Amino acid sequence: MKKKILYLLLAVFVALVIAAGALFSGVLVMPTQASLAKDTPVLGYDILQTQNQRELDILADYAKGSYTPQKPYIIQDPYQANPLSALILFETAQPAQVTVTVLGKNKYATFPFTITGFTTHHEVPVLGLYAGQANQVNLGIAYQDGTQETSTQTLQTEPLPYDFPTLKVRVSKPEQMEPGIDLMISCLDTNYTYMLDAYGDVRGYFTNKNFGHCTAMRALQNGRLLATGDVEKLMPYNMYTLWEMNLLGKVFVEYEIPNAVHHDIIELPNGDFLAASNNANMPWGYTSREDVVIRIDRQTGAVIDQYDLTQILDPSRAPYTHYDPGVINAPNLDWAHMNSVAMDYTDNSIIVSSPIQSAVVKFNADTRKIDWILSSPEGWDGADSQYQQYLLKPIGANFEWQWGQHSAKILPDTDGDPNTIDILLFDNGQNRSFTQAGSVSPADNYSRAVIYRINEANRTVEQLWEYGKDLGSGAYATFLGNVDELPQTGNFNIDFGGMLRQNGVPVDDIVASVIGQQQVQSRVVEVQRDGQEVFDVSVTPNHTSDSETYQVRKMDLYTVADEYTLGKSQGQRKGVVQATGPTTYTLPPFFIPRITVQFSQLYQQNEALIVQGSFQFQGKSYMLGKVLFVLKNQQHQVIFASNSGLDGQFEGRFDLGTVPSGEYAIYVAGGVTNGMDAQGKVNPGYNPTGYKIEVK
Amino acid sequence: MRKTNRPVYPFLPFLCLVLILSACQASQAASTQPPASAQPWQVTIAKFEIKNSLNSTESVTQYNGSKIDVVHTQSPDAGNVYLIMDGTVSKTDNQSSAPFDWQWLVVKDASGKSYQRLANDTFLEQYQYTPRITGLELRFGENSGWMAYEIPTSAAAGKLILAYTAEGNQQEIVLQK
Repeated sequence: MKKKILYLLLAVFVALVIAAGALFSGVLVMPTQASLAKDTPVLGYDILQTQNQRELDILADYAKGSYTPQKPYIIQDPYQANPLSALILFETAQPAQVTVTVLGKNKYATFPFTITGFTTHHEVPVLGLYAGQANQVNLGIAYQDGTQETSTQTLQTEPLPYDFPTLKVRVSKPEQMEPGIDLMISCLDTNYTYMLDAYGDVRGYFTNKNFGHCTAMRALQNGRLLATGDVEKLMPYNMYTLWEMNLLGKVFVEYEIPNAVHHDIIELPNGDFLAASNNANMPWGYTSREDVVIRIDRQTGAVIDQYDLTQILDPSRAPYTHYDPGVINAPNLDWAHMNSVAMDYTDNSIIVSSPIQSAVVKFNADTRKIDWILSSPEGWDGADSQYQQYLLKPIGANFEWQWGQHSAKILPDTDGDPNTIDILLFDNGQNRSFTQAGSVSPADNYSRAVIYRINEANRTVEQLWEYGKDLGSGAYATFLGNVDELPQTGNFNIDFGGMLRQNGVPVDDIVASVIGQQQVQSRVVEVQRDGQEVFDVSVTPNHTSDSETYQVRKMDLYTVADEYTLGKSQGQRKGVVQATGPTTYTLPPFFIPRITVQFSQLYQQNEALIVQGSFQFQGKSYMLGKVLFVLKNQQHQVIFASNSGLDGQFEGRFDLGTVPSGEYAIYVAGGVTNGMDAQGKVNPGYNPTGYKIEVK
Repeated sequence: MRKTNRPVYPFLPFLCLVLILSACQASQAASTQPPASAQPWQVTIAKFEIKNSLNSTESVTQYNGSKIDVVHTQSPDAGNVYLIMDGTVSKTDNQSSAPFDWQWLVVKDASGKSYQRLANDTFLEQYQYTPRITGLELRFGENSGWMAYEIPTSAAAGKLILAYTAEGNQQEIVLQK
């Protein structure tokens, strides 16, 4: 009996030794030939190459047939980006000029476009198709000899996606509206960026929900659209890239911005860009974020100047805002949350908006010296009393300060006084106080568009105009939004972008809404200066909790950017590609199947591995968390740390240039519940993702 | 016969380890490629499902870490079922300029009656049938994803054939249940 017990003890001991040996040797997480064969390879993807190949495929397919104006070659959604677009290709015997028209409801919803010049080979862009309909597309062919030909084509389109937001048009007076379409720009990757006509009909949308998050999209002088790209440095909107593109989805130039771009970017008269960005330590160091203005050289894509707000204002000034708790902006201190940039060319100054500070600040681009601060005087005391000298004195009747504002911009001069500058902005009105004690409840709050006239000589500010206060809490938007003055009509296009609602009641909790606990609704109003609404559309969620509109931008549907030659216009890449190197974190060689990963992006672009998605640790999502990705084969193990977003989200662009060539299984580790970097507490063990990558 | 009580216990861990390591070995999944075809378009179906209704539960995380479940349901007309297929439509004859048109890809039941793809099956993505195959007129390349048909329940019980019949293109796939 004793012997039997002895044997048993010996067995247990040996088992423990073997188990420990196996566990610590890493053999249980060592990929084998068989496991690698089973894994799914990570595919290569580069939008510039992919789109160029797509163009070549279209041309090759076109070359197989013979196409005329009456029987043209039609390919819908040529870039697999905007399903309500198409390209029509055909030949004419004689040089001809083509006008394309998608037949709209009436003239206000019809956007004819005539292509420059006379040719015999025609590549005709089609924009503004209706969804789920048989669209009539007219081609007008004008020959050089004066003869004309018409052709009518029918393009059937698919319905809108099931989760497309619900649009309710309250007012539509197209004859009084600014011509063009409204580009409704999304903020989060659960919503679409789309185009509306004067009747509120959807005339285009982008299927890629990963680009253009929460950042202005603007029409450039060359007719192209400028937007942030789809590689995230930090969720939900700090993006590594900028795209010069058109509404078909073709990308002409991709700019690489190492410290990312967020919220706003403008084109300067010489073509350079001025953008909201970050310091170089964001997000890996425990520093601040969203507080640097950068200037980007258009020719090279290089960042040629930086303006660090931490050197201009006080990052420790801490108003009460609903951007708190800091979780939404972790891991860095988001004290400014800079959301607009503007340039005053009269004195080479930059004007920025900080919604967290409820301040619009003008400073000289050469000296970085503050000129003025448009802000309530609340909270500029104590350590910040040094800034009181820059505060403006309000004058005139009906004056109100702005709170948590967006999109501050300079209006054209109307009074001829060189000492004055008119600032148009969207006053979200968040709290309407520096302190929690003085804050206004969302049920009693309002948002508005407002024009301030600042006399820089007298240091005064006067309120000239406002719209929105009378809408009350029904249009109160805690965050997001913008206002533009429209050049032809003088109307104002106003976006009440982030209306947080819980059971229809206005609330202020931005974090809860971002993770889907509450609804984000929005409302866009085009209004004449006398306050008459000429367009009013409400946007509510459909199968999601999210129908925010970060900004609305009135644009031409067609521009010269829609004219180009297929196969001869491959996109360029400019700037410096930044990717994260391996971490020094050492993982224990445990196989513990605790983490499940869902990728929304997983591809290799040149020497970078791009990952984005969400993870669960032991079947549960975490508000904050972190995952590490382990590339492993028999010879090597390389660990990369992703960045974190809310609710288990992660993103990363990993530098494969430092990884020895070979085939690697991809494992996932981590599940940090507190701490936002690779040095934080990591639960031991890791498990395979089922993917592998070939590094060359 | 004398019981020897051979010390087999010490070897049990080895056996367990062997079993564990064996379980870690990946099995090679069999895959079949569609036969080469001179026809312009080739349709392959990887799998299909017949559903009385579609249900999904969306788990929404609360700020405090708890979750609420939101249930979604989609049903066909009374007496019908959904036939949902995961397939690939490939251009196999690169000399052809013929586009692929969904109106010619029909499901035929045992009586020969045919059914077209639903004009709107965007709902598939809500029920995790992703990606949905998009594009109403395909011109080239490989186009993969899910598609939905709605057929009578009685038809679903019998033989079903997916047929693509266009100019220069005849193909039938028996949906083996």
